[in-house]
Amino acid sequence: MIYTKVTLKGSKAAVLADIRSIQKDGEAAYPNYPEGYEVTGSSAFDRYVVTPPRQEVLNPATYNGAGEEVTPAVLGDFISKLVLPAGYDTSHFATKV
Amino acid sequence: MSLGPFTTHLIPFTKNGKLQFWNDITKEIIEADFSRPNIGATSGSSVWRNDQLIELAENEPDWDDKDGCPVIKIRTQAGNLILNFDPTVNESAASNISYVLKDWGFGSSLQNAVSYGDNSLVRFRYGGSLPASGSACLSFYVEMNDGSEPVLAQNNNSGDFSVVIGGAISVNINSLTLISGTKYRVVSSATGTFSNQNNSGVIKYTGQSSKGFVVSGFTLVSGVTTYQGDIPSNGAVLTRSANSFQFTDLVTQGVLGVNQGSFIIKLNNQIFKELGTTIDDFVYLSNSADSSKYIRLRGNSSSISIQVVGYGTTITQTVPVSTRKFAFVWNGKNVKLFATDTMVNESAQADDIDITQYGTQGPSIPVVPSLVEISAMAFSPIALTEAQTIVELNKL
Repeated sequence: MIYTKVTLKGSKAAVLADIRSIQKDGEAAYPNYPEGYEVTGSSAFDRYVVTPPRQEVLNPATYNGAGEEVTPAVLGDFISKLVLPAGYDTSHFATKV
Repeated sequence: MSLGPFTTHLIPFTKNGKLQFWNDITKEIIEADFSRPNIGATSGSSVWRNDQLIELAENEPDWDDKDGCPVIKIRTQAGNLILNFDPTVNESAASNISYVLKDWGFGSSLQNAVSYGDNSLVRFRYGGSLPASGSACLSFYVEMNDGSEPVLAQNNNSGDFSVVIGGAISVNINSLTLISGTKYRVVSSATGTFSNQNNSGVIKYTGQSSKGFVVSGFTLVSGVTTYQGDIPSNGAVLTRSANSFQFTDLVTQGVLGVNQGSFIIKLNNQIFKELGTTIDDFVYLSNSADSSKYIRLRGNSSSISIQVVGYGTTITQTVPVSTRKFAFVWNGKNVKLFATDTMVNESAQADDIDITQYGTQGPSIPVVPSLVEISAMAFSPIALTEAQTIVELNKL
């Protein structure tokens, strides 16, 4: 595999904590996420891609014929997707799916 | 373009989809590692070629011809919040519309449409899930049933239809672009508080024209007010990662000399027009064995800086944000920085400048412009003189 791909799922705080724990060369890659730019490593494929945590829709809202919401959407956990360098140890992520 | 002293030029080849340069010294092709990892099931990065909308494969180089010359596209990361780019089912509120099969003639990613009838009923179809406030840009394709040019309204009593972003029709119409025949692309945007975060799409009111139409190809990007390209989602939010590419072992391949060389680059557009955060390493020349040594180009909406780091004295040379052409020349411990057609900095470092690799990467957030195009790049294994470098810059 050219990348290590991980999905994080949990509370917003827990997912953010995992993102902020991503390490590059022994240092936090995104210590103040969502602040900061994408960090890359020594090769083009050493990527540290993070998608903003978004809340999962468990049940979509329902609407009547006039487009008015009848029942609101039921939202679940926050989800973030990561692309990390090949071989990156993902075992420490508490919210890893 | 003919760059005399530069011996390795940008030549993306179409026949094998690789990003390649021609090295005129060794008479060999060198390849770049192009990176754009799939975050979802597909890359979400699409390009228009020969009137076809084509989604690129993971890591497939993103380049195109422009005015007969190749350009490398450095796109940003951006996500489509609409679940179905080519919709066949409701996502959020919808009423009095139908889903039809329609081959738009743009390729396999657009084979369906939402059909709106006449103005006898209010008709709408919405999707997306925006934050409570901020900016957003919605783009889609439309064709009127009678082949006319669509008339977009920012109210409910004129034109053919209105665009809704975040629950309101008070949106800006950025552009209405004829793509082919009678098919148009609409780009619209809004900034503020979104009264209904799930309602972005198209509505036709009874007070508008009686003309029916079809729409498809929805892309909704949060955090930006300009078109970021088409991101063909298929059942889920799809994020396109930023483009990045890198050439390695340039000294081994004879593209750069040992502790000497020259590099020249021309961008087609401003690096980042709407960006508070500085993007590091938009362009970087570095030593593969020591990441603390590099010459790099970084920028934001107000400034561009060229930095020399790790060789003794850190240099940070700021140049006007409008600068498009750059050159770096190094020879032993001496390094010269050029912007447009002027040498803006020369310094003697403590250590030899041992550059061995080159890379470029796009921002990790959607920004304006959505991509920066590199229209010319060249390497030389020798350190050019100031006069030679300026001559070469003037050729770009």
